[in-house]
Amino acid sequence: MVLVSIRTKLSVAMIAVFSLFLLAALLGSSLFQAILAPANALLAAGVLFYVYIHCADHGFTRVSLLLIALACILWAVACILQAYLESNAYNAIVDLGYRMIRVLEILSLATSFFAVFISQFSQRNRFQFALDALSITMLSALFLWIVFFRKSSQNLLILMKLDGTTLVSLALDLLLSIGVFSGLYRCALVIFLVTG
Amino acid sequence: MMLAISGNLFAVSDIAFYYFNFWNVRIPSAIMNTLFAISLYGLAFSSLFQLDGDDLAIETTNIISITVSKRWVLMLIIPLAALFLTAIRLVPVTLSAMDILCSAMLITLHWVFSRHIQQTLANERLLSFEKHLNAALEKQVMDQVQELSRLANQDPLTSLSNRQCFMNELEDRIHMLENDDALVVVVLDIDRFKTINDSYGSEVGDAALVAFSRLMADWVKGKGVVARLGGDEFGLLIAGNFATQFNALCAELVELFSQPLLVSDKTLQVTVSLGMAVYTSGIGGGQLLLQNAEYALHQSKSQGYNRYQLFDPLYSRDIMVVNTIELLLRQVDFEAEFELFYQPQFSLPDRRLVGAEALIRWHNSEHGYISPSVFIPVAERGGFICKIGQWVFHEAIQQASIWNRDSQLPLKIGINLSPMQLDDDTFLAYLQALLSDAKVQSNQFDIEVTENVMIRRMDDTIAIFEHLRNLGFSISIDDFGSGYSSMIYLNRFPFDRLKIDKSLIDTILAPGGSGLPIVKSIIDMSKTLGIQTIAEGVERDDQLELLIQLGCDQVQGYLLGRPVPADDFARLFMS
Repeated sequence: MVLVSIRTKLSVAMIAVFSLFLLAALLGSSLFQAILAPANALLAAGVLFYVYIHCADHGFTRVSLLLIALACILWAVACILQAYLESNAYNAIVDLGYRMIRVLEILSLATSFFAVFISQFSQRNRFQFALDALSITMLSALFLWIVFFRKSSQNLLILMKLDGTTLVSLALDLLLSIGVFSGLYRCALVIFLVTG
Repeated sequence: MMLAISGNLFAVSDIAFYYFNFWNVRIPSAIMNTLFAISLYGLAFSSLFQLDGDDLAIETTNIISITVSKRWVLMLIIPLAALFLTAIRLVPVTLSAMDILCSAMLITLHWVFSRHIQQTLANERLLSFEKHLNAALEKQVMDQVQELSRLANQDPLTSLSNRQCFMNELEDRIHMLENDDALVVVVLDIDRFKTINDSYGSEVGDAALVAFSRLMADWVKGKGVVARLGGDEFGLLIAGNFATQFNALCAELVELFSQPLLVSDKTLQVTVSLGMAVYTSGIGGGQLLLQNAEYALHQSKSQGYNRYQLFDPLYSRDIMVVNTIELLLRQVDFEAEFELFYQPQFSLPDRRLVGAEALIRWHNSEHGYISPSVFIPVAERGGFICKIGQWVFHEAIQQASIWNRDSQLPLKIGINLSPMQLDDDTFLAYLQALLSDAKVQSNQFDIEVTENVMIRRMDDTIAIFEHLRNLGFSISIDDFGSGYSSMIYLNRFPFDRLKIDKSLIDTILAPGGSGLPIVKSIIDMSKTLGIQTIAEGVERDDQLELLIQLGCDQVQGYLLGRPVPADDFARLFMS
């Protein structure tokens, strides 16, 4: 009798659901996409919660697992809400509830990474970390100034006036990238910050 | 790594989502949902590694340590990405020289400061590593010093202190001693310990020593210190009030060891001998105190087993004399320092010279005359007696040869034989060779043995005596009456002559004393047995007259002639 580990079983389940989602996307099935997109997130949340329960660690790593699971659930909720709003010919981005859920979602994720970062901070050289964070922040700001705001202060003002949730979400996304890059896997992940 | 990539992918997707919404760029929701799904699955998949106990911290540290020197290169990606996006016109702006300059400046500054920090960190790490190495080395050295110190101060078998440690402790205690304090050193020796080794083997012997050491360590707790001085000898150092009751302490120790001891399934019953020395100011150092206790132990052992003895200064003097003589015997020049004297022996009642007793004399250039009564016992204990005996026989036989050539007197020369010489297998052969070389008859010699000879293996001794008699030697029993003087020996051993001890001769004239009847009885008995008698140590005329009356056959003593060198003997008694 071949023993299959729980990790393998969960991995197979995730690949299977994701494959169905990709298939639906390729076939252009909006219904299945609308069903399988939140299903992806809920399955990921389920896996994270399973690991949270069975994790041997009792420190920041375990807390971060719970927060990431929460972010997945929030994303699934936002996805369902978006599908519902768009099915009613309504732009989800202008809905405050939708935007709030997205803010909470990225806040959970950023907090989870921050928890991991706290657990690692004592092992790092603070001067090097500060230098890395400062440099990346400035380069990222320059990048956003060029790419996102297209070197126009008017665009920045528009965004600031538009709504606070988008600004908060953007700031949290940026912090998440900077934090991950400079605090954990800064060299290996720099490419994602560039695109961010 | 997967956790970080997924987290970043999620953030980038989220920013892109807001970017497209802000600029009203329409892209299919399937693309964004796919990116989000990949990032969420990535987060979930990476968390599965936590089930195996993978440690995030270890992975992070490894990545940082590998890539830290190339960080500035990777930072180029950010401006390059901006350049790429503007170049493909995804973003409708152009990069100015100022943009490039700002990016270059930021990267350069990061490189400069980062390099400085990393250099400092490297130095710190090196220093820390060196400190760690030094600390490890110091600890190793410290451990080894402690181990060496332990080995230098501890007996490996019993784990008690060794002699060196005991001496150090003793010296320290002496230095710290105040006026009223008492200090006693006890040296304890297990009686006949060799028999335990011989009977049960050295393993049991060692186990017994360990058991004894534990017994003593328990006993001495709170009173002082115990150490193994070597072999089966232990030293105890007792200070304070206990030390004043040293007799009681020693009695307690003797009692302690009188109990049967179970060692390796064997029940051992041992006794101990103890010697002790009390410290008094002016006695000298610890070395002398221990030596005194050892002298006391010797004295205790000489009195038998299961005894204890307080140090007696007179005994130590005797021991020192013995040690000195033993040392001198080791380096003695026989020809230069030894000489044979001859004391005449006369027949009675005609007082005719019939023989002489060869007596060894030792004149040491440093210590002067050393009496045979002092050095002969030492020579016997130290194993020198056989060589000395051979020399005596050689000299006496040579002298007999000379006298035979110069005189026609039929002299019989008495030569003393030590019991230990009988154990020498070459003795008889040597004797025969001497006689043959000197061309003298064996019947010119009388072998004088003491009663001690008869205590050893009787059959062997009788056989040797028979052999000597067959060769033509006569045999006398020396100092008869001073020891056991058992009649049974006279019956069994083939003696020719009985030499009555001087101590009996000294008392034959004492009124009401037992000397006269004993001497008379000896003479009568000898006549009955057909054995000749000779009285030793005759110094007065009235003694001589009485001996003549009693029928003694021969006489020897200062009255008729003192021991003298061979030349003087010839001149005084043979002319």
